[in-house]
Amino acid sequence: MVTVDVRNLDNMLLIPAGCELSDRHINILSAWGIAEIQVEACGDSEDSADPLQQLPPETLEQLTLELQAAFWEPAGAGPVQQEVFNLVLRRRAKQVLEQQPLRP
Amino acid sequence: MNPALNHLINGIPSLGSYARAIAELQSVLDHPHSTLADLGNVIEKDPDLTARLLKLGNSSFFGFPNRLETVAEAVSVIGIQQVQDLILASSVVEVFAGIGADLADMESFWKHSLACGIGARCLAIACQMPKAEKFFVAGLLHDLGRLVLFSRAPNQVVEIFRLCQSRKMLLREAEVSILGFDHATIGEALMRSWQYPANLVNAVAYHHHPMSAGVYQLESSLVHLADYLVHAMQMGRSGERFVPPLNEKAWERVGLATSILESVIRSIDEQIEIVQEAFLNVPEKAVHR
Repeated sequence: MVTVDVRNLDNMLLIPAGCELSDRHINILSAWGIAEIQVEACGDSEDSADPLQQLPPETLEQLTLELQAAFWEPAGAGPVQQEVFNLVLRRRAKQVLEQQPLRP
Repeated sequence: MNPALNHLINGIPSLGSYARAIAELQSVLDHPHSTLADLGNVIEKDPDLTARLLKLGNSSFFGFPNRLETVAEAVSVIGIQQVQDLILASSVVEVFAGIGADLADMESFWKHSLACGIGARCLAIACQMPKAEKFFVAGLLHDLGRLVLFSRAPNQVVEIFRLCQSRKMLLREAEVSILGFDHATIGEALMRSWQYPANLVNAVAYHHHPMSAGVYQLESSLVHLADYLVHAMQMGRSGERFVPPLNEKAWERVGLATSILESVIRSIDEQIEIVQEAFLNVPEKAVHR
């Protein structure tokens, strides 16, 4: 739940305090480039598991190699490249899991 | 100007069927007693433009909490300059809408360009830059030179792609090898001939070498970073098969924490569909060949 009113740079109210955060609110925050707001946990939360942990090691290795081949520079060339590579690898892993759900 | 470059860009119209709307908007803006309703009336004369504007205004691209019902409302909350920038972006998409799919997957090309525009705008907002819509336009147009090549020099495009296939090289290196200049130079020349603002021209001209952009380093850096991110996400294709190198000085120049990257990627994912629908649903008119 949002605990403090969220406003944009022009002081326009985007999300009032007391509102339960929804995907629509997250979109609004992204659209206005707001990286942080104050919230309070309420109800049960269900953390989604890390897709990299869910992939079999050989699939993860294959994905990593495929992605490395797509980059002109090595993934570890600098901190930004490393961060982007990790985000893209996680994104691809999620896509693979969505296409071929793994059996428990 | 290089005669080959001049030949490539000569005669490409700048504003398609939106030329009249833009001229009328400017005329209203120049009048000291104009109102938002007057501006709205000009835009509403073009139903296609009205639909695009309201679609974007009510989407996650802007994230306004209340629904916009009229163009005048949209202009009042989005801003006049930003609306003009969006019309400019629509006009360029329209001018190049007729390029065939034989050289490149154009839907994928536009997806890359629009995603780059969204990314550049998100990064600009994160940097608290004013008038972030201009970064959307800069990102959208960053590969404008490739559109010129596709439409004006298809045989050379085939040569460029062949050279890239035969050697490990970046597409822009192959462009220089075959043409003597790259797509960024072509885009720059075309935008200069259209008399676009210097910040847009330089953002496009230096999107691969942002630290050479002089006073426009920040604009160029934002487009450079968005281009890198969108290539890495494999969101659409510009024709380049590699994720191009990142200039780390550009990242230092914008001064953001790497933690912002995840939210920029999320924004692109959330907004790309509505932006594609708003910009690519182009009626068959004023198509350039």
